[in-house]
Amino acid sequence: MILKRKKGQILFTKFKRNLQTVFLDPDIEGEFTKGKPLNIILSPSLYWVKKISLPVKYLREVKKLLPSIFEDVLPEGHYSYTAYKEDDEYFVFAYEDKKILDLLEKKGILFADVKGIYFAQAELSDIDEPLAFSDAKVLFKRDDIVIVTPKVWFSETQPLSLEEHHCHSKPLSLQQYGHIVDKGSLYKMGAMLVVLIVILFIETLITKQKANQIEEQTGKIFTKYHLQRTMMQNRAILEKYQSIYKKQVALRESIVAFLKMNLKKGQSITLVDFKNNVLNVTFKGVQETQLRYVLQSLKKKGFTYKSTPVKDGVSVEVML
Amino acid sequence: MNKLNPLHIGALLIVLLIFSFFKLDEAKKQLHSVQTAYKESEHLALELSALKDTYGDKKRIQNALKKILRLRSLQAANVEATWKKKSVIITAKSLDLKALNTLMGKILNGNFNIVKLKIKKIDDLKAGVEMEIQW
Repeated sequence: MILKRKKGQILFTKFKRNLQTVFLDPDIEGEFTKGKPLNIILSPSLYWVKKISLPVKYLREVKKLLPSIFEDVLPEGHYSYTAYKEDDEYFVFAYEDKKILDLLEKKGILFADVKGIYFAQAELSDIDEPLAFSDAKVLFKRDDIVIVTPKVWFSETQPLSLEEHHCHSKPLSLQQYGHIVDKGSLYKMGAMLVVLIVILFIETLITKQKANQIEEQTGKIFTKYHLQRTMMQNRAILEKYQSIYKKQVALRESIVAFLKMNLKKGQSITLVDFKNNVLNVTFKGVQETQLRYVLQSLKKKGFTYKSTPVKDGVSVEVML
Repeated sequence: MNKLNPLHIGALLIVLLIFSFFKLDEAKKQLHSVQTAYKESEHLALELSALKDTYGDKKRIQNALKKILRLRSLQAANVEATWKKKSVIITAKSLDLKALNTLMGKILNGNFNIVKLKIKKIDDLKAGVEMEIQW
């Protein structure tokens, strides 16, 4: 917690953990404790910087121009850009996310441990003497730009110390996968996924609504036709009526088959008896052979029958 | 750095997308199921309603039978009807051929659930009839 005393009052300004600040340069050798949060100050060798005056009012307008400002000087690569305003001038930056991330990995620094990444230009702009960060290199400010120069250029240097340094500028956000897919494509893919999810969600809602409507209609059918509560009960009732229908059709077909017979003089039907789903027809003066045609037609229709000779005639029993 | 990894967001969106597909599939299966149930209910209701009207409508059956029994030829033949709660028994001890044809023509061509039927020849011109019709 940093406390400021102002006119006799103690003000809580902000809650800050005491973070280690590390200067990141390819030439610096060092070991870092994993799991310990730290701030990173990027060496000028890891970014490109320009100080420019532009006839624009807002920073967002400058940001749109950044790629074109650097297009003639940058080697080929995937660059991210940023800028900040100081007085009436702008400091504009170009950097390669992957290059910085690779260096962090090479130094054994976990990206998850990094709390903030800052430009040396923004954090160390107040240096007024060469600050050595390795045996061969120093940080030096020339024309308001913090640069890396060989140590041998200076007769006297001071060592770079960040122990008491508190980072104050706006941290930059590295795009971990910017070199694989650019930001625009990521947004497009994300937007497409979101649109797809929304479409699927809407379709699911519509489908569920349809299902509810059909369920309501099914309920109306039950009310309209006075059906029983369960389909099992209704199926049982239907089976009962279907059975009645089949038997009644069979009874009529069988009787018609017998009545269609051409009986000669002295031949007659003496009894038609139907009970317990069995039709019994008794003929007088008719031989069993004479019934062959009728019995065959009954057989074709799937009825089982039994003919028995009786006194002066024949009796036919048809199971319906 | 405490920044959301775009890949995590992508993975979350993909999980959400898969979940949405799953939910849609579930909803479609439910829709298919209710559609099938609706069709079955409709088919069953229509068939059951038609069969019930034919064999289970007491009023219709009674009215139709009374209409038949009121026919002049049958009234003259002394056809009797014994009405029960679930059925009617129609008997005629001696029917001439014309009355027998009329009665059986009307009954067999009509939609009646005949559970018993007995036609016994008395002589060349007459027959006795007994039948039970249920509803």
